[in-house]
Amino acid sequence: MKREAGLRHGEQPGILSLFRRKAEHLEFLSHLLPKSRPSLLRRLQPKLRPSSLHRLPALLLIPALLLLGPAGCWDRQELNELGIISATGVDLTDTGRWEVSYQLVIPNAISAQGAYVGGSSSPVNVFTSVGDSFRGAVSRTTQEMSRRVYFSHNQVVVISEEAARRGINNLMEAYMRNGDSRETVTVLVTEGSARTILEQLLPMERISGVGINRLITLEEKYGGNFRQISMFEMMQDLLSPVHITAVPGIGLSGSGAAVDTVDAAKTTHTGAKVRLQKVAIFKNNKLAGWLSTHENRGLLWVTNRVKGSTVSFPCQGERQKLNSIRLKKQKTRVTPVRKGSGWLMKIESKATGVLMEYNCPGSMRKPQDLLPVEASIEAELKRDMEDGILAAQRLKADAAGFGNLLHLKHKEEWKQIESDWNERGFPKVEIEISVHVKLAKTGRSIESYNEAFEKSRKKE
Amino acid sequence: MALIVFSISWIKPLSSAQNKVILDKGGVFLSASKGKKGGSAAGGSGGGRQGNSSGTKPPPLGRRVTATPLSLSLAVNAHAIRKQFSDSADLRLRMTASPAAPGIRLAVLYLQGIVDENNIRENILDKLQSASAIEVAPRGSKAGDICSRLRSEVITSGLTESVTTLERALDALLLGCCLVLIDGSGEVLAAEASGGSVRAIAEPTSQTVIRGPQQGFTESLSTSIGQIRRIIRSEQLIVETQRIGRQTCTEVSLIYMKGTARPEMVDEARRRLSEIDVDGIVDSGYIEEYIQDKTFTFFPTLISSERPDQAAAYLLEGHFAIIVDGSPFALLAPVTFFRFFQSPEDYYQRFDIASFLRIIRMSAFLITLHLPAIYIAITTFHQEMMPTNLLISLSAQREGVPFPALVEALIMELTFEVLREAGVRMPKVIGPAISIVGALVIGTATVQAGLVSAAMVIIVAFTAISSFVAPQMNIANAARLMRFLFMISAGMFGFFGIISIDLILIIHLAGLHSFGVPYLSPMAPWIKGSWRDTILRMPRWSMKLRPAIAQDGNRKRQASGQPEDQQKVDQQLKGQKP
Repeated sequence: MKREAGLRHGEQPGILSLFRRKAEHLEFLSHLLPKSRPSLLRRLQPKLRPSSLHRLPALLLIPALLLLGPAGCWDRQELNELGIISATGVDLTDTGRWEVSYQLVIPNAISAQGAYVGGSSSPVNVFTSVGDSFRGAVSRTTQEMSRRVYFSHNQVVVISEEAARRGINNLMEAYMRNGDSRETVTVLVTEGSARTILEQLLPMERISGVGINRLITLEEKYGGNFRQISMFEMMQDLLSPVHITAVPGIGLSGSGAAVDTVDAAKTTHTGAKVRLQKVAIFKNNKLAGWLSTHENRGLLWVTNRVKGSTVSFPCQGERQKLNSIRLKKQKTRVTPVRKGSGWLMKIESKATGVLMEYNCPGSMRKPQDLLPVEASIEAELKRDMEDGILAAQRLKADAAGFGNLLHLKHKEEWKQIESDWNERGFPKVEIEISVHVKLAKTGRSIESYNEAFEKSRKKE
Repeated sequence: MALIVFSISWIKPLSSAQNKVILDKGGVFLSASKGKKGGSAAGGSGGGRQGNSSGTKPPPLGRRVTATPLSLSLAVNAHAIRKQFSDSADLRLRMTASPAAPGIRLAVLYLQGIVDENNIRENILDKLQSASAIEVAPRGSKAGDICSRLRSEVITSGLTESVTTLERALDALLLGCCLVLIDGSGEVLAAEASGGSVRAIAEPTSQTVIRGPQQGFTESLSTSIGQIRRIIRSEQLIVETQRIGRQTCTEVSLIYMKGTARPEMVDEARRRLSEIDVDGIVDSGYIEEYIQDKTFTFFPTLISSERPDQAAAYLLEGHFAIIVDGSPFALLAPVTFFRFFQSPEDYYQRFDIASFLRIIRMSAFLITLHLPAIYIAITTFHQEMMPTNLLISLSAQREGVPFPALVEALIMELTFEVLREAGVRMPKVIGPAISIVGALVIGTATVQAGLVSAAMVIIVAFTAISSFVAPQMNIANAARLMRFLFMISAGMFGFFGIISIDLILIIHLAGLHSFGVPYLSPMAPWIKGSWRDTILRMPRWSMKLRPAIAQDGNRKRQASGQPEDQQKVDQQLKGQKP
């Protein structure tokens, strides 16, 4: 009966007719279509009423098929089946196996209103698994974790000095190959145990992994002493011609007890706190040594990586650094020049800044009055750079990236010296530094307060 | 006399041969008249389909296949008619007499409720009883002559006809005529007296605007046509009325602007309407379902509008309108997808805010479709795409919820649909109860009980609000249904599933047509210049052309745009300045 009705209206029975076009263009609408597609022009078929009820079963079949899906969604993972990891620590056991620590976020403890202080339970939980390989250790987490560890929101990887001295190539391999462990994660090195760092609670931060990541981001942006480095950038550095990278160090400073319980965080001061300190220089995948903060800043000037920094400098002829300038724009250009059997690096640096604190006598009203100020800042920067390069030369690690420049600009010579550049070539490099600092603004006041005070006293 | 001439044009007196032929096909009373300019007979009837459009299909009023001549006896005729109606209670018969026809018994017969009884009293009964014998019935006149004399000189109803068969008498009664039966005559006088109480013009309930006309269509066809005619006072506005429905004989008017609407398109609409053969048309929704291009789609291909101003604007742009007696919703076609996001108010307020609102409406449509699906996809497949803090916050909310995100979302969405339907169907008196149940029980209690997460409630709430933004309810209904497809697909395949359904949807939309107009035009296919009134609404002076559906050669709708005028004004101002 239904079929008859369908046939009467010139339709073919069957599921396929579902997909057959019924209404088509009227010819008068041909101008609406591009001329090059005449095939789209069809006449409107006589079409009257929905007699094709025989299609209904086919239509009902579609949702039925769709419902099969939810029952068997193979890679579905609900939010409450995940153990979100906010920080990872890499240590080495006494027997030389990898000891990977995880800072697991406890969402319930965090999403309650307010910060972690006052909360009854700890916002994070740190646990460790051991294995011969990095991912092997990770796979053992299932033995003690009720949930799948989820690394996509991992913020930092802290590597202990011990593990770093052994070599981080395994870690690199694991991070490069796996989709769930992001290579944009921030890397830090600690002198002690990495697990200890993960156990610390930070003031203001509910998840300390996130907090540490913010710490280093902020420092890079405003402090200029450290450079935040991700796993990916580290890989780029280590695969560059000089095979050197610098990773910020982190450690506990202060004498008091570590803040690793919620109760300890309930006081107004923290005893031992997490602090960025020193910089680890990696050479050929292994930790080669440490640089001080000051030395690292010099190297960052040379490698053009300071985003913003506050520099203290002395008055002319004095030693005590009473004055500060906030440097904003900074551009360094290094030109390698052949000198005898070795190389001379001509380093030209330009920086612009705003005076933030000035305690020296003297007028600053005329532009030429600023020249001596600028000169003393220049001297300060020059000293920073020299110290940094000297320190790197002492470690026999080209953290200034001079080798990369030679590789780019003097390809033939580089091929000859490439093999022992860090050991023999780089320590002998001579440097010639010229710095030009421009004082863009002196801030809201012109002369120093001391000067103004002296003047007012003289008037009396 | 003019009135009589007019009445002739209303129901053309037929020669007996013609009469016979058409009677055999049935529906002579309804199909015979060729009032193309039916708007002139806006009194409620007149007009009709064109004689050439009938073809092979069965007659629209299949019951009238015979032609029984009326008897000479009033009693026999009255009895025959009453028998046909099985003595229905609303059939009223009143015996009377007239000085105009001395000694001849007369009877007035009508169906109560569909006629205006005051009208009958004034124009028929009073006139019959007060007519003087001398002027009407010269001595020796026969009863047969009396009929035409009564018709031409006594009865003052607008339209009259003399009926000679029982079937036509029945039709006339059903259409709201008053029959005057004359004893001794084989003819019955049918006088137009349709009326009865109708709803007064009120504000549209489903399409409200802040600025703009505040009147809506009513159930009365003649009133609705009059509302459009009041806006477009042009002889180019054509109203073609036909009756559809074997039992209901519903008047359906096809309205268009001659010279602006494409004749081929109007022919197609006329053809589709004329092919409808069903026992009854109760609302314009019936017609919509019969004449739409595609049945198995979520998307409407006709706009149903409650607003005369919107209908008039569409007519001016070359669309046609179909108004069904008894339905306050006019059908406007052909329409494209983008039309459903345009409110009549867009044209009454500034172009910049109108454009902004259109973008908001489209975004809301996309949100209605996608938001729950995106939530499901992100929380079950793509957790890495969220900011860490959001992930942890959501994760804490999901902690302890016993269902997967998909089931959670389905529960909430279905709950909302139930609430919404209950809200529509519930008597207004207990309306507040549903809000309490909805807000407290569903919103707060389920979250506190740990059945669903708080984020899910937010998602469902926002989705629901977004679904109310569309100015056309039927496109929002399309989104309501498709949302579930998206959710299930997202629950199975994550974003991949959402994009798949999106692609299928776009392909489907690109294949849809509304009376031959591609549904996604003027975007796909791209029609140059038509973007000005699609997603954005450009200033009126820049919309110089009608949409491409308007007839070729008549697309220009305004003399010149503003820039040239502005230049002239500027020049004048400069010239006047010293």
